[in-house]
Amino acid sequence: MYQNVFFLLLLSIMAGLCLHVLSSRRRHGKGIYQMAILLLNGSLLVMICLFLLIGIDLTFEHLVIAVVFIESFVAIYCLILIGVVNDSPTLAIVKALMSARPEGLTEEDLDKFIKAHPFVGSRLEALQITGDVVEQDGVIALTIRSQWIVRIISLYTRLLRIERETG
Amino acid sequence: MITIFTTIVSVLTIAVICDLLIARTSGKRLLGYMTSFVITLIGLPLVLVSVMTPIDIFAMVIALGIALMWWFIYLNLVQAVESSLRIRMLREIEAEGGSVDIDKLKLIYNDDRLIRIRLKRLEKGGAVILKNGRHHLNSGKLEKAAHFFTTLKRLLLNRRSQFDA
Repeated sequence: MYQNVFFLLLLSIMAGLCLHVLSSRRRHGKGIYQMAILLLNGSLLVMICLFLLIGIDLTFEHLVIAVVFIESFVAIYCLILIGVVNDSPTLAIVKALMSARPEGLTEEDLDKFIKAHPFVGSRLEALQITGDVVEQDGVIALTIRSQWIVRIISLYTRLLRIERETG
Repeated sequence: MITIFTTIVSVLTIAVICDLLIARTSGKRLLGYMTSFVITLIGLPLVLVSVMTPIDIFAMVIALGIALMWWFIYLNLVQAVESSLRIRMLREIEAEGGSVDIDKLKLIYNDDRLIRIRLKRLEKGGAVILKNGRHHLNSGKLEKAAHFFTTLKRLLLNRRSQFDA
């Protein structure tokens, strides 16, 4: 029966998330993804040891399911973290509109907002940091890895008949 | 365990195929996402109930959790491919032959154009309305999403925006 695995996962995730919030605040977001992977997996390991020490039955099958569940959770948590760390342009506009209530956002406010949010620069910088583009003498070029990524994406978009659009 | 994983993979495969078919035939992405989500949410427990003996409610909850998380990963990958700014810039560079002058790229992708295109899309979808030359928010869903991410950003990073000093 999977009751023990259910409580093992519940306790591991709760402990891992609490530790991650504390660590992120303490480290001001430095290494936020690495810490999420480390702390959630670490919590599972500690909980497994605790369960076995106090004599709660866990089979090999249970452990495999628990590991798959935690790794899946780590993946979705990191995906959510991407949205938390990097402001989405659409959500930034929404926040600006919320702050401008009840008068609404004027063209002047919009210009100020655009100047304060250098999205394109931050994304280009991120692409350089991850090694997806290189800049030399004012020219930006794809790397071998990003060429493969773009090829796979092009295949997918052709399959779905999605037109390439800018902006 | 084999039963659980086989069921998850089978249900998700059907969900993904349905999503891709809807996208290819109708171009309605939201309908595709919703269909694949409903297939996963309802299909998985139904299949598990018919193949699992005896029925273990905790196993079903765990299996549904894994399936929904894998669906969410699929959704994020697909969304990134279709609308991520970084992916769009990579495709733009590829379209220029693999490299492009930074000034040319900035002509296509600059903050002013980026924000105005998105604002126009929001207006077209009814989420933003223009009244007397002023833009007003008209979407509860987007407001909730903004609150969710701002709360998490405050909790984890102790700030409201990526561009806060």
